[in-house]
Amino acid sequence: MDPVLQDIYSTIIPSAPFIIAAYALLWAALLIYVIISVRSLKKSEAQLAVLEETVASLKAQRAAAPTAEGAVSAQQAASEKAAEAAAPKIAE
Amino acid sequence: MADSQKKKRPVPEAGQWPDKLLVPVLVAGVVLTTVGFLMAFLYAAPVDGAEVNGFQLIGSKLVTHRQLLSQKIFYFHMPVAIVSFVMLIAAAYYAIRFLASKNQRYDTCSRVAMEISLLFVIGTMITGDLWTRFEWGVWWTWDPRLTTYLILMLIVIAYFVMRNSVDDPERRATYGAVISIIAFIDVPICMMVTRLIPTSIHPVVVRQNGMAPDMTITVMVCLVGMLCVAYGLYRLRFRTVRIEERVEALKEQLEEE
Repeated sequence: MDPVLQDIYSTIIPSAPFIIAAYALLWAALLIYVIISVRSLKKSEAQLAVLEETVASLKAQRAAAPTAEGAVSAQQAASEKAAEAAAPKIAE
Repeated sequence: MADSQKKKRPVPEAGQWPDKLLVPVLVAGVVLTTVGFLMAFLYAAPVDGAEVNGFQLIGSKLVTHRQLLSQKIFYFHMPVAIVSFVMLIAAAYYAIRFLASKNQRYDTCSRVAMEISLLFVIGTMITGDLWTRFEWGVWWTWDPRLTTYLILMLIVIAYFVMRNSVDDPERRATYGAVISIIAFIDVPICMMVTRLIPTSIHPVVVRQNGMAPDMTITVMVCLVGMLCVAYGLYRLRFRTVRIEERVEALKEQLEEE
């Protein structure tokens, strides 16, 4: 190879690992953040769905209960159901 | 008194119209940054380094200097740094709004903006350090720009350390808002320090003859792409945090009943 041309391109190969590392690490950092955020979002959405369903059923049971005693027992039953439904998800 | 206040606490809403932009903006960001990456290597001309002893005709151009491939890091380094500043400005804006209104939603906005800012600060540090290692032969030097940016990074880390160590939400949000504003104050200092201190060895592109049109276009594509990525990540994270807050509020409601 021509020595002048060799000098012109002398820093290309030595600098390549640093450039590859810079771009790869930057994209890796962004990708890891996206993966963590999406996993966290899915988990929260699942918890929210369970809780909202429980709250809705609790309200419906309370509205349907004819007496105060009935409302209390329905509420207790729904709370127990909610605790059972939400506990495994929350513990994840 | 405390119980009545607790009961009055509204359930945070989750899922607003900007969430619909999340996927298109993230996709646009990924596409633009990929195009920018390709432009950096295939479209933007290499930058001249030290002069060589002679000349060579490459294509139709007479080359008399070493061609620097390491400069290609700049096409992502500068946009990522600018985005970190933009997110810090957003965090400070929401911090001020929180301090003015005490609305917890603004604290969440500020916190998420700080989180995204930290991500981009780390990205700037990674790309900058690798360039420094190759060009200057050291992993770190106490250059004014590097030092002020390190201080900025430490302030952002301190923000999250503080948030994890204070239990009371009101105090945590107030202290967080103050730290966000302090971090924001460091932004113009960091931007201007290379102009204010002449001994700084950090390159100042705009002052040094500016950029060639091909470089400018490539940087702009990368910058718009990175802004899209940052906004997409912000919306994604904001939605997650709001849902988490909503879950907590619903759990409290169930416990109370």
